[in-house]
Amino acid sequence: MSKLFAAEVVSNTQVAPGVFKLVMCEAELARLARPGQFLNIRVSAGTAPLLRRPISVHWVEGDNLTIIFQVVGQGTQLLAQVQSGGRLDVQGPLGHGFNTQTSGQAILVGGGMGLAPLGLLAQTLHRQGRTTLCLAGGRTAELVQASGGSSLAGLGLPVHYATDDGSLGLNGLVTELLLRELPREAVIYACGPQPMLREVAKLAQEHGIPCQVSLEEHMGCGVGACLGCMCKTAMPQGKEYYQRVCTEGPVFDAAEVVWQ
Amino acid sequence: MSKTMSEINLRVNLGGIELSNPVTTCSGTYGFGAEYAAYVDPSELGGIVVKGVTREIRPGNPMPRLAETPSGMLNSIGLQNPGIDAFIADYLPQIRALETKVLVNISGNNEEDYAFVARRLSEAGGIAGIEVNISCPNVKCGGIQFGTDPVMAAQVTRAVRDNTQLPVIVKLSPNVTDITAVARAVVEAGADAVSLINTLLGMAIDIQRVRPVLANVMGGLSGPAIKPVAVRMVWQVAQAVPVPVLGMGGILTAEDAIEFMLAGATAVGLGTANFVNPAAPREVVQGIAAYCQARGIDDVNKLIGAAWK
Repeated sequence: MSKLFAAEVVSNTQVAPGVFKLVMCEAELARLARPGQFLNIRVSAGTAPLLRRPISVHWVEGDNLTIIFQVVGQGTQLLAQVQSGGRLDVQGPLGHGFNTQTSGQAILVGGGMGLAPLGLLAQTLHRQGRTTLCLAGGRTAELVQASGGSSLAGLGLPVHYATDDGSLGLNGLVTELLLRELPREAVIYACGPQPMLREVAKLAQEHGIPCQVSLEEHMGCGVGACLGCMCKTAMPQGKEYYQRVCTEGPVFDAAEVVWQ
Repeated sequence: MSKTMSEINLRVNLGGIELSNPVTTCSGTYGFGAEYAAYVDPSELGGIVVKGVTREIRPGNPMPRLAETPSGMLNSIGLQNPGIDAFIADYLPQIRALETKVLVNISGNNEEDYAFVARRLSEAGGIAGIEVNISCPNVKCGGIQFGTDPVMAAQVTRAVRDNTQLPVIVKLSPNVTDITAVARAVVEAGADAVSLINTLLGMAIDIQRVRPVLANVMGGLSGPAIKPVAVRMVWQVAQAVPVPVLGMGGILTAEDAIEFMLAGATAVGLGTANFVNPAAPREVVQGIAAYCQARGIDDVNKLIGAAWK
Protein backbone atom coordinates (compact mmCIF):
# COMPACT_ATOMS: atom_id res chain seq x y z
CA MET A 1 0.00 0.00 0.00
CA SER A 2 1.27 3.42 -0.92
CA LYS A 3 1.55 6.29 1.51
CA LEU A 4 2.84 9.82 1.84
CA PHE A 5 6.32 10.15 3.30
CA ALA A 6 8.60 13.01 4.26
CA ALA A 7 11.78 11.21 3.27
CA GLU A 8 15.11 12.53 4.45
CA VAL A 9 17.48 13.37 1.60
CA VAL A 10 20.83 11.66 2.24
CA SER A 11 22.59 12.90 -0.87
CA ASN A 12 21.88 14.37 -4.29
CA THR A 13 24.81 14.13 -6.66
CA GLN A 14 25.37 14.92 -10.31
CA VAL A 15 26.79 11.68 -11.73
CA ALA A 16 26.98 12.75 -15.39
CA PRO A 17 26.08 15.95 -17.23
CA GLY A 18 22.40 16.53 -16.37
CA VAL A 19 22.02 13.17 -14.58
CA PHE A 20 21.47 13.08 -10.82
CA LYS A 21 21.50 10.33 -8.24
CA LEU A 22 19.38 11.11 -5.20
CA VAL A 23 19.49 8.91 -2.10
CA MET A 24 16.72 9.22 0.46
CA CYS A 25 16.19 7.54 3.79
CA GLU A 26 12.74 6.20 4.66
CA ALA A 27 12.62 2.78 6.27
CA GLU A 28 9.00 1.88 5.52
CA LEU A 29 9.21 3.02 1.92
CA ALA A 30 12.43 1.06 1.45
CA ARG A 31 10.74 -2.03 2.85
CA LEU A 32 7.65 -1.66 0.64
CA ALA A 33 9.28 -0.84 -2.71
CA ARG A 34 9.29 -3.58 -5.33
CA PRO A 35 11.23 -3.70 -8.61
CA GLY A 36 9.59 -1.58 -11.31
CA GLN A 37 7.54 0.50 -8.88
CA PHE A 38 7.79 4.28 -8.83
CA LEU A 39 7.65 7.20 -6.43
CA ASN A 40 5.49 10.24 -7.08
CA ILE A 41 7.58 13.15 -5.88
CA ARG A 42 6.40 16.68 -5.17
CA VAL A 43 9.15 18.90 -6.51
CA SER A 44 7.71 22.28 -5.54
CA ALA A 45 6.03 23.41 -2.35
CA GLY A 46 4.13 25.92 -4.47
CA THR A 47 2.09 25.43 -7.63
CA ALA A 48 4.79 25.55 -10.29
CA PRO A 49 5.16 22.94 -11.45
CA LEU A 50 1.87 21.68 -10.08
CA LEU A 51 2.04 17.94 -10.58
CA ARG A 52 4.23 15.40 -8.88
CA ARG A 53 6.99 13.69 -10.87
CA PRO A 54 6.84 9.90 -11.17
CA ILE A 55 10.35 8.43 -10.90
CA SER A 56 11.21 4.75 -10.58
CA VAL A 57 13.13 3.28 -7.67
CA HIS A 58 16.65 2.46 -8.77
CA TRP A 59 18.15 0.88 -5.72
CA VAL A 60 17.28 -0.13 -2.16
CA GLU A 61 19.89 -0.65 0.52
CA GLY A 62 18.79 -0.88 4.13
CA ASP A 63 16.54 2.12 4.81
CA ASN A 64 17.86 4.01 1.79
CA LEU A 65 16.28 4.30 -1.64
CA THR A 66 18.01 5.73 -4.68
CA ILE A 67 16.45 7.38 -7.69
CA ILE A 68 18.28 8.43 -10.84
CA PHE A 69 16.89 11.19 -12.98
CA GLN A 70 17.83 13.37 -15.90
CA VAL A 71 17.11 17.09 -15.86
CA VAL A 72 14.64 17.55 -18.70
CA GLY A 73 12.37 20.34 -17.48
CA GLN A 74 11.29 22.59 -14.66
CA GLY A 75 10.37 19.71 -12.31
CA THR A 76 13.61 17.77 -12.58
CA GLN A 77 15.54 21.05 -12.41
CA LEU A 78 14.02 21.71 -8.99
CA LEU A 79 14.67 18.14 -7.93
CA ALA A 80 18.32 18.56 -8.91
CA GLN A 81 18.57 21.46 -6.45
CA VAL A 82 17.34 19.45 -3.46
CA GLN A 83 19.98 19.50 -0.72
CA SER A 84 21.02 16.65 1.54
CA GLY A 85 19.51 16.91 4.99
CA GLY A 86 16.23 18.25 3.58
CA ARG A 87 12.91 16.44 3.34
CA LEU A 88 11.24 15.22 0.19
CA ASP A 89 7.45 14.81 -0.12
CA VAL A 90 7.21 11.32 -1.59
CA GLN A 91 4.10 9.32 -2.44
CA GLY A 92 4.66 5.64 -2.96
CA PRO A 93 5.54 3.03 -3.75
CA LEU A 94 3.17 3.03 -6.71
CA GLY A 95 2.38 0.90 -9.71
CA HIS A 96 2.54 -2.71 -10.75
CA GLY A 97 6.19 -3.62 -11.04
CA PHE A 98 8.17 -6.47 -12.59
CA ASN A 99 7.04 -10.00 -11.93
CA THR A 100 10.11 -11.83 -10.67
CA GLN A 101 8.31 -15.14 -10.15
CA THR A 102 9.50 -16.34 -13.54
CA SER A 103 11.87 -19.09 -14.59
CA GLY A 104 14.93 -19.42 -16.75
CA GLN A 105 17.68 -16.93 -17.35
CA ALA A 106 16.71 -13.30 -16.90
CA ILE A 107 17.87 -10.90 -19.60
CA LEU A 108 17.67 -7.28 -18.50
CA VAL A 109 17.62 -4.81 -21.38
CA GLY A 110 17.95 -1.12 -20.57
CA GLY A 111 18.33 1.96 -22.71
CA GLY A 112 19.32 5.39 -21.39
CA MET A 113 17.43 6.40 -18.26
CA GLY A 114 15.51 3.15 -18.66
CA LEU A 115 18.46 1.45 -16.99
CA ALA A 116 17.50 2.98 -13.65
CA PRO A 117 14.55 0.73 -12.69
CA LEU A 118 16.54 -2.36 -13.71
CA GLY A 119 18.80 -1.79 -10.70
CA LEU A 120 16.30 -2.88 -8.06
CA LEU A 121 15.16 -5.67 -10.35
CA ALA A 122 18.74 -6.91 -10.65
CA GLN A 123 19.16 -6.70 -6.87
CA THR A 124 16.06 -8.84 -6.40
CA LEU A 125 16.96 -11.42 -9.03
CA HIS A 126 20.51 -11.56 -7.68
CA ARG A 127 19.15 -12.27 -4.18
CA GLN A 128 17.00 -15.04 -5.65
CA GLY A 129 20.14 -16.54 -7.19
CA ARG A 130 18.78 -16.20 -10.70
CA THR A 131 21.12 -16.33 -13.66
CA THR A 132 20.96 -12.81 -14.99
CA LEU A 133 22.45 -11.13 -18.03
CA CYS A 134 22.35 -7.35 -18.36
CA LEU A 135 22.38 -5.48 -21.65
CA ALA A 136 22.92 -1.77 -21.16
CA GLY A 137 22.66 0.84 -23.89
CA GLY A 138 22.95 4.60 -24.09
CA ARG A 139 24.52 7.57 -25.82
CA THR A 140 27.94 7.50 -24.16
CA ALA A 141 29.91 5.39 -21.68
CA GLU A 142 29.48 8.08 -19.05
CA LEU A 143 25.71 8.22 -19.44
CA VAL A 144 25.27 4.44 -19.49
CA GLN A 145 27.26 4.06 -16.29
CA ALA A 146 25.53 7.01 -14.58
CA SER A 147 21.98 5.96 -15.43
CA GLY A 148 22.38 2.54 -13.82
CA GLY A 149 25.01 0.55 -15.72
CA SER A 150 27.58 0.81 -12.94
CA SER A 151 25.06 -0.46 -10.35
CA LEU A 152 24.39 -3.57 -12.43
CA ALA A 153 28.09 -4.24 -12.84
CA GLY A 154 28.57 -3.63 -9.12
CA LEU A 155 26.40 -6.63 -8.32
CA GLY A 156 28.89 -8.77 -10.19
CA LEU A 157 26.42 -9.54 -12.94
CA PRO A 158 27.63 -9.89 -16.53
CA VAL A 159 26.90 -6.64 -18.36
CA HIS A 160 27.24 -6.11 -22.11
CA TYR A 161 27.27 -2.53 -23.30
CA ALA A 162 26.21 -0.70 -26.42
CA THR A 163 26.77 3.03 -26.97
CA ASP A 164 25.87 5.43 -29.75
CA ASP A 165 29.41 6.79 -29.87
CA GLY A 166 31.21 3.50 -29.34
CA SER A 167 32.84 4.74 -26.11
CA LEU A 168 31.80 1.55 -24.31
CA GLY A 169 31.06 -1.87 -25.75
CA LEU A 170 29.32 -2.21 -29.08
CA ASN A 171 29.07 0.87 -31.26
CA GLY A 172 25.36 0.46 -31.88
CA LEU A 173 22.03 -0.34 -30.31
CA VAL A 174 21.26 -2.43 -27.24
CA THR A 175 18.74 -4.37 -29.33
CA GLU A 176 21.65 -5.61 -31.47
CA LEU A 177 23.17 -7.06 -28.29
CA LEU A 178 19.85 -8.75 -27.54
CA LEU A 179 19.64 -10.28 -31.00
CA ARG A 180 23.06 -11.91 -30.46
CA GLU A 181 21.71 -13.69 -27.37
CA LEU A 182 18.68 -15.14 -29.11
CA PRO A 183 17.22 -17.66 -29.29
CA ARG A 184 17.46 -19.01 -25.78
CA GLU A 185 15.34 -20.09 -22.82
CA ALA A 186 14.91 -16.87 -20.99
CA VAL A 187 12.64 -14.09 -19.81
CA ILE A 188 13.27 -10.52 -20.93
CA TYR A 189 12.83 -7.46 -18.71
CA ALA A 190 13.13 -4.16 -20.56
CA CYS A 191 12.96 -0.45 -19.93
CA GLY A 192 13.93 2.38 -22.22
CA PRO A 193 12.70 4.63 -25.01
CA GLN A 194 9.61 3.50 -26.95
CA PRO A 195 11.44 2.59 -30.21
CA MET A 196 13.81 0.37 -28.21
CA LEU A 197 10.97 -1.30 -26.30
CA ARG A 198 9.03 -1.87 -29.51
CA GLU A 199 12.05 -3.61 -31.04
CA VAL A 200 12.69 -5.67 -27.90
CA ALA A 201 9.04 -6.73 -27.87
CA LYS A 202 9.26 -7.72 -31.53
CA LEU A 203 12.40 -9.81 -30.97
CA ALA A 204 10.84 -11.47 -27.93
CA GLN A 205 7.73 -12.34 -29.88
CA GLU A 206 9.72 -13.69 -32.86
CA HIS A 207 11.65 -15.97 -30.53
CA GLY A 208 8.71 -16.91 -28.34
CA ILE A 209 10.28 -15.47 -25.19
CA PRO A 210 8.18 -13.89 -22.43
CA CYS A 211 8.94 -10.21 -22.10
CA GLN A 212 7.98 -7.55 -19.55
CA VAL A 213 8.35 -3.89 -20.47
CA SER A 214 8.28 -0.88 -18.17
CA LEU A 215 6.62 2.13 -19.80
CA GLU A 216 6.97 5.81 -19.10
CA GLU A 217 4.12 8.30 -19.30
CA HIS A 218 3.16 11.74 -18.03
CA MET A 219 0.87 11.24 -15.07
CA GLY A 220 -1.84 13.20 -13.34
CA CYS A 221 -2.58 11.37 -10.13
CA GLY A 222 -0.30 8.29 -10.15
CA VAL A 223 -2.92 6.21 -8.31
CA GLY A 224 -5.37 5.26 -11.03
CA ALA A 225 -7.98 7.95 -10.45
CA CYS A 226 -7.60 10.37 -13.36
CA LEU A 227 -7.12 8.05 -16.37
CA GLY A 228 -4.56 10.42 -17.84
CA CYS A 229 -1.62 8.01 -18.38
CA MET A 230 -3.08 5.31 -20.57
CA CYS A 231 -1.46 2.59 -22.64
CA LYS A 232 -3.38 0.96 -25.46
CA THR A 233 -3.36 -2.77 -24.96
CA ALA A 234 -4.82 -5.68 -26.87
CA MET A 235 -6.79 -8.65 -25.58
CA PRO A 236 -5.94 -12.05 -27.07
CA GLN A 237 -9.16 -11.74 -29.12
CA GLY A 238 -7.73 -8.58 -30.66
CA LYS A 239 -10.01 -6.12 -28.86
CA GLU A 240 -8.09 -3.02 -27.84
CA TYR A 241 -8.56 -1.08 -24.64
CA TYR A 242 -6.72 1.43 -22.49
CA GLN A 243 -4.97 0.43 -19.28
CA ARG A 244 -3.48 2.79 -16.71
CA VAL A 245 0.32 3.05 -16.82
CA CYS A 246 0.31 4.10 -13.15
CA THR A 247 -1.80 1.20 -11.88
CA GLU A 248 -1.95 -1.80 -14.24
CA GLY A 249 1.57 -0.68 -15.27
CA PRO A 250 4.15 0.73 -15.53
CA VAL A 251 5.24 -2.86 -16.25
CA PHE A 252 3.19 -4.64 -18.89
CA ASP A 253 3.47 -7.93 -20.71
CA ALA A 254 5.08 -6.80 -23.99
CA ALA A 255 2.65 -8.96 -25.97
CA GLU A 256 -0.29 -6.90 -24.66
CA VAL A 257 1.04 -3.50 -25.65
CA VAL A 258 -0.25 -1.88 -28.82
CA TRP A 259 2.82 0.11 -29.88
CA GLN A 260 2.14 3.59 -31.23
CA MET B 1 -15.67 33.10 23.78
CA SER B 2 -13.74 30.75 21.55
CA LYS B 3 -15.16 27.34 20.74
CA THR B 4 -13.24 24.11 20.80
CA MET B 5 -12.99 22.32 17.46
CA SER B 6 -15.52 19.71 18.51
CA GLU B 7 -18.07 22.39 19.41
CA ILE B 8 -18.03 23.86 15.92
CA ASN B 9 -20.80 22.62 13.67
CA LEU B 10 -19.30 21.55 10.35
CA ARG B 11 -22.48 19.95 8.96
CA VAL B 12 -23.99 21.48 5.87
CA ASN B 13 -27.01 20.58 3.76
CA LEU B 14 -26.35 20.40 0.04
CA GLY B 15 -29.74 20.32 -1.63
CA GLY B 16 -31.12 17.68 0.70
CA ILE B 17 -27.85 15.83 1.21
CA GLU B 18 -26.57 16.08 4.79
CA LEU B 19 -22.79 16.34 4.71
CA SER B 20 -20.77 15.87 7.90
CA ASN B 21 -18.50 18.69 6.71
CA PRO B 22 -18.38 20.88 3.60
CA VAL B 23 -15.47 19.10 1.91
CA THR B 24 -16.02 16.79 -1.07
CA THR B 25 -13.87 15.52 -3.93
CA CYS B 26 -14.57 16.29 -7.58
CA SER B 27 -15.66 13.87 -10.23
CA GLY B 28 -12.90 12.62 -12.50
CA THR B 29 -10.17 13.23 -9.96
CA TYR B 30 -11.13 10.67 -7.35
CA GLY B 31 -11.77 7.59 -9.45
CA PHE B 32 -14.48 5.37 -8.02
CA GLY B 33 -13.64 6.21 -4.42
CA ALA B 34 -11.08 3.58 -3.43
CA GLU B 35 -8.04 5.02 -5.20
CA TYR B 36 -7.33 7.56 -2.46
CA ALA B 37 -8.57 5.60 0.56
CA ALA B 38 -4.95 4.91 1.57
CA TYR B 39 -4.39 8.64 2.10
CA VAL B 40 -7.67 9.94 3.45
CA ASP B 41 -10.40 7.81 4.97
CA PRO B 42 -13.57 8.66 2.99
CA SER B 43 -15.44 8.88 6.32
CA GLU B 44 -13.44 12.03 7.10
CA LEU B 45 -14.97 13.75 4.07
CA GLY B 46 -18.37 15.33 3.67
CA GLY B 47 -18.80 13.38 0.47
CA ILE B 48 -17.18 12.20 -2.72
CA VAL B 49 -18.27 12.54 -6.32
CA VAL B 50 -17.17 9.57 -8.39
CA LYS B 51 -16.02 9.47 -12.00
CA GLY B 52 -18.58 10.26 -14.71
CA VAL B 53 -20.70 7.37 -15.87
CA THR B 54 -22.54 7.08 -19.18
CA ARG B 55 -25.20 4.72 -20.54
CA GLU B 56 -22.70 2.87 -22.73
CA ILE B 57 -19.05 1.97 -22.22
CA ARG B 58 -16.70 4.75 -23.35
CA PRO B 59 -13.11 3.95 -24.35
CA GLY B 60 -11.93 7.52 -23.77
CA ASN B 61 -9.79 9.78 -25.93
CA PRO B 62 -6.44 8.92 -27.54
CA MET B 63 -3.20 9.80 -25.75
CA PRO B 64 -1.79 12.25 -24.78
CA ARG B 65 -4.62 13.20 -22.47
CA LEU B 66 -2.74 15.49 -20.09
CA ALA B 67 -0.69 18.66 -20.34
CA GLU B 68 0.78 20.51 -17.40
CA THR B 69 0.37 24.31 -17.59
CA PRO B 70 1.36 27.18 -15.27
CA SER B 71 -0.22 26.33 -11.88
CA GLY B 72 -2.66 24.07 -13.66
CA MET B 73 -3.23 21.22 -16.03
CA LEU B 74 -5.22 20.42 -19.13
CA ASN B 75 -7.02 17.12 -19.45
CA SER B 76 -8.91 15.45 -22.21
CA ILE B 77 -9.89 12.05 -20.83
CA GLY B 78 -13.08 11.73 -22.83
CA LEU B 79 -15.33 10.29 -20.10
CA GLN B 80 -13.68 6.88 -20.18
CA ASN B 81 -15.93 4.62 -18.09
CA PRO B 82 -17.31 1.08 -18.10
CA GLY B 83 -20.93 2.08 -18.76
CA ILE B 84 -23.80 2.17 -16.27
CA ASP B 85 -24.47 -1.60 -16.13
CA ALA B 86 -20.85 -2.53 -15.40
CA PHE B 87 -20.62 0.40 -12.99
CA ILE B 88 -23.57 -0.87 -10.98
CA ALA B 89 -22.39 -4.47 -11.05
CA ASP B 90 -18.65 -4.04 -10.53
CA TYR B 91 -18.13 -0.74 -8.71
CA LEU B 92 -21.28 0.28 -6.88
CA PRO B 93 -21.07 -2.44 -4.19
CA GLN B 94 -17.67 -1.16 -2.97
CA ILE B 95 -18.83 2.45 -3.33
CA ARG B 96 -21.85 1.76 -1.13
CA ALA B 97 -19.51 0.39 1.53
CA LEU B 98 -17.70 3.74 1.82
CA GLU B 99 -18.69 5.57 4.98
CA THR B 100 -19.39 8.87 3.30
CA LYS B 101 -22.01 10.46 1.07
CA VAL B 102 -21.43 9.36 -2.49
CA LEU B 103 -22.63 11.28 -5.51
CA VAL B 104 -22.43 9.74 -8.94
CA ASN B 105 -21.63 12.01 -11.86
CA ILE B 106 -23.55 11.18 -15.05
CA SER B 107 -23.21 12.19 -18.70
CA GLY B 108 -25.02 11.37 -21.91
CA ASN B 109 -25.43 12.04 -25.62
CA ASN B 110 -29.04 13.12 -25.29
CA GLU B 111 -31.85 13.56 -22.76
CA GLU B 112 -32.83 9.89 -23.01
CA ASP B 113 -29.33 8.80 -21.99
CA TYR B 114 -29.37 11.06 -18.92
CA ALA B 115 -32.86 9.85 -17.99
CA PHE B 116 -31.86 6.22 -18.43
CA VAL B 117 -28.70 6.47 -16.30
CA ALA B 118 -30.52 8.45 -13.59
CA ARG B 119 -33.27 5.85 -13.43
CA ARG B 120 -30.83 2.93 -13.30
CA LEU B 121 -28.85 4.56 -10.48
CA SER B 122 -32.00 5.32 -8.49
CA GLU B 123 -33.19 1.74 -8.84
CA ALA B 124 -29.77 0.42 -7.84
CA GLY B 125 -29.81 2.58 -4.70
CA GLY B 126 -27.18 3.22 -2.08
CA ILE B 127 -26.00 6.61 -3.29
CA ALA B 128 -26.72 10.05 -1.86
CA GLY B 129 -27.33 11.96 -5.05
CA ILE B 130 -26.64 12.50 -8.72
CA GLU B 131 -24.37 15.13 -10.22
CA VAL B 132 -25.44 15.89 -13.78
CA ASN B 133 -22.50 16.71 -16.00
CA ILE B 134 -23.65 19.16 -18.66
CA SER B 135 -20.23 20.67 -18.97
CA CYS B 136 -17.65 18.14 -20.12
CA PRO B 137 -15.49 19.92 -22.69
CA ASN B 138 -13.88 16.75 -23.97
CA VAL B 139 -16.54 14.76 -25.78
CA LYS B 140 -17.97 15.36 -29.24
CA CYS B 141 -21.54 14.55 -28.31
CA GLY B 142 -23.30 15.74 -25.18
CA GLY B 143 -21.44 17.39 -22.37
CA ILE B 144 -20.64 21.02 -22.88
CA GLN B 145 -23.24 21.71 -25.58
CA PHE B 146 -25.95 21.11 -22.98
CA GLY B 147 -24.22 23.34 -20.52
CA THR B 148 -23.83 26.41 -22.68
CA ASP B 149 -27.51 26.71 -23.71
CA PRO B 150 -29.96 27.45 -20.87
CA VAL B 151 -32.85 25.79 -22.75
CA MET B 152 -30.96 22.53 -23.36
CA ALA B 153 -29.53 22.61 -19.83
CA ALA B 154 -33.04 22.82 -18.45
CA GLN B 155 -34.24 19.96 -20.66
CA VAL B 156 -31.48 17.65 -19.46
CA THR B 157 -32.11 18.63 -15.84
CA ARG B 158 -35.84 17.96 -16.27
CA ALA B 159 -35.12 14.56 -17.83
CA VAL B 160 -33.05 13.58 -14.79
CA ARG B 161 -35.48 15.17 -12.31
CA ASP B 162 -38.38 13.14 -13.76
CA ASN B 163 -36.48 9.88 -13.35
CA THR B 164 -35.12 10.02 -9.83
CA GLN B 165 -36.11 10.86 -6.28
CA LEU B 166 -32.46 11.42 -5.40
CA PRO B 167 -31.12 14.94 -4.93
CA VAL B 168 -29.99 16.31 -8.29
CA ILE B 169 -26.94 18.57 -8.55
CA VAL B 170 -26.22 20.08 -11.94
CA LYS B 171 -22.57 20.80 -12.76
CA LEU B 172 -22.20 24.04 -14.65
CA SER B 173 -19.73 25.02 -17.33
CA PRO B 174 -17.66 28.19 -16.98
CA ASN B 175 -17.38 28.37 -20.77
CA VAL B 176 -20.34 30.72 -21.08
CA THR B 177 -20.93 34.46 -21.14
CA ASP B 178 -23.48 34.50 -18.32
CA ILE B 179 -23.33 31.51 -15.99
CA THR B 180 -26.27 32.79 -13.94
CA ALA B 181 -28.62 32.32 -16.92
CA VAL B 182 -27.79 28.60 -17.07
CA ALA B 183 -27.93 28.33 -13.28
CA ARG B 184 -31.43 29.86 -13.15
CA ALA B 185 -32.61 27.59 -15.97
CA VAL B 186 -31.52 24.35 -14.29
CA VAL B 187 -32.92 25.42 -10.92
CA GLU B 188 -36.28 26.18 -12.51
CA ALA B 189 -36.09 22.72 -14.10
CA GLY B 190 -35.75 21.10 -10.71
CA ALA B 191 -32.08 21.05 -9.71
CA ASP B 192 -31.64 20.76 -5.93
CA ALA B 193 -28.17 22.30 -6.07
CA VAL B 194 -25.56 23.38 -8.60
CA SER B 195 -21.86 22.59 -8.70
CA LEU B 196 -19.34 24.87 -10.37
CA ILE B 197 -17.03 25.29 -12.05
CA ASN B 198 -16.16 22.50 -14.41
CA THR B 199 -12.91 22.98 -16.34
CA LEU B 200 -12.21 25.93 -18.60
CA LEU B 201 -11.67 25.03 -22.22
CA GLY B 202 -8.02 25.52 -23.13
CA MET B 203 -5.13 24.20 -25.15
CA ALA B 204 -1.35 23.99 -25.30
CA ILE B 205 1.02 23.62 -28.25
CA ASP B 206 4.31 21.74 -28.25
CA ILE B 207 6.64 24.16 -30.02
CA GLN B 208 9.20 21.43 -30.79
CA ARG B 209 6.71 19.09 -32.45
CA VAL B 210 4.71 22.05 -33.76
CA ARG B 211 1.50 20.24 -32.77
CA PRO B 212 -1.11 20.56 -30.03
CA VAL B 213 0.03 18.71 -26.89
CA LEU B 214 -3.31 16.94 -26.43
CA ALA B 215 -4.37 14.37 -29.00
CA ASN B 216 -7.86 15.84 -28.75
CA VAL B 217 -6.34 19.31 -29.37
CA MET B 218 -8.39 21.06 -26.67
CA GLY B 219 -8.95 20.10 -23.06
CA GLY B 220 -10.23 21.27 -19.73
CA LEU B 221 -8.04 23.53 -17.60
CA SER B 222 -8.06 22.87 -13.86
CA GLY B 223 -5.91 23.68 -10.85
CA PRO B 224 -5.04 26.89 -8.98
CA ALA B 225 -4.81 28.77 -12.29
CA ILE B 226 -8.62 28.84 -12.57
CA LYS B 227 -9.44 29.67 -8.96
CA PRO B 228 -10.22 33.38 -9.34
CA VAL B 229 -12.61 32.60 -12.20
CA ALA B 230 -14.33 29.96 -10.07
CA VAL B 231 -14.64 32.24 -7.04
CA ARG B 232 -16.20 34.94 -9.23
CA MET B 233 -18.73 32.51 -10.72
CA VAL B 234 -19.64 31.03 -7.33
CA TRP B 235 -20.18 34.60 -6.10
CA GLN B 236 -22.50 35.35 -9.04
CA VAL B 237 -24.45 32.08 -9.02
CA ALA B 238 -24.93 31.82 -5.26
CA GLN B 239 -26.65 35.20 -5.28
CA ALA B 240 -28.70 34.42 -8.38
CA VAL B 241 -30.32 31.12 -7.38
CA PRO B 242 -32.09 29.93 -4.20
CA VAL B 243 -30.35 26.52 -4.09
CA PRO B 244 -26.99 25.61 -2.50
CA VAL B 245 -23.78 25.83 -4.49
CA LEU B 246 -21.02 23.20 -4.46
CA GLY B 247 -17.99 25.33 -5.27
CA MET B 248 -14.88 23.99 -6.99
CA GLY B 249 -12.07 25.11 -9.23
CA GLY B 250 -8.45 25.20 -8.11
CA ILE B 251 -8.94 24.65 -4.38
CA LEU B 252 -5.68 23.38 -2.85
CA THR B 253 -5.88 24.59 0.74
CA ALA B 254 -8.33 25.43 3.52
CA GLU B 255 -7.79 29.11 2.75
CA ASP B 256 -8.96 28.49 -0.81
CA ALA B 257 -12.00 26.54 0.42
CA ILE B 258 -12.94 29.29 2.89
CA GLU B 259 -12.75 31.82 0.07
CA PHE B 260 -15.32 29.78 -1.88
CA MET B 261 -17.63 29.57 1.12
CA LEU B 262 -17.37 33.30 1.76
CA ALA B 263 -18.30 33.75 -1.92
CA GLY B 264 -21.46 31.74 -1.31
CA ALA B 265 -20.58 28.04 -1.61
CA THR B 266 -22.33 25.72 0.85
CA ALA B 267 -19.78 22.99 0.21
CA VAL B 268 -16.54 22.72 -1.75
CA GLY B 269 -14.93 20.18 -4.03
CA LEU B 270 -11.24 19.30 -4.30
CA GLY B 271 -10.13 17.99 -7.67
CA THR B 272 -6.65 18.52 -9.02
CA ALA B 273 -5.54 19.12 -5.41
CA ASN B 274 -5.71 15.37 -4.83
CA PHE B 275 -2.97 14.84 -7.42
CA VAL B 276 -0.73 17.45 -5.80
CA ASN B 277 -1.38 16.51 -2.20
CA PRO B 278 -3.45 13.37 -1.55
CA ALA B 279 -3.90 14.48 2.06
CA ALA B 280 -5.42 17.81 0.98
CA PRO B 281 -9.09 16.94 1.65
CA ARG B 282 -8.35 16.10 5.29
CA GLU B 283 -6.16 19.19 5.72
CA VAL B 284 -8.92 21.36 4.28
CA VAL B 285 -11.52 19.97 6.73
CA GLN B 286 -9.15 20.66 9.62
CA GLY B 287 -8.23 24.09 8.29
CA ILE B 288 -11.85 25.19 7.97
CA ALA B 289 -12.50 24.14 11.55
CA ALA B 290 -9.38 25.95 12.74
CA TYR B 291 -10.45 29.13 10.91
CA CYS B 292 -13.87 29.00 12.58
CA GLN B 293 -12.30 28.39 15.96
CA ALA B 294 -9.84 31.25 15.60
CA ARG B 295 -12.67 33.64 14.74
CA GLY B 296 -15.11 32.34 17.34
CA ILE B 297 -17.51 31.01 14.72
CA ASP B 298 -19.62 28.13 16.05
CA ASP B 299 -21.24 27.07 12.78
CA VAL B 300 -19.56 26.68 9.40
CA ASN B 301 -22.84 27.70 7.75
CA LYS B 302 -22.12 31.23 8.93
CA LEU B 303 -19.28 31.39 6.40
CA ILE B 304 -21.60 30.86 3.45
CA GLY B 305 -21.86 34.11 1.53
CA ALA B 306 -20.41 36.07 4.43
CA ALA B 307 -18.44 38.25 2.02
CA TRP B 308 -21.59 39.55 0.33
CA LYS B 309 -22.37 42.08 3.03
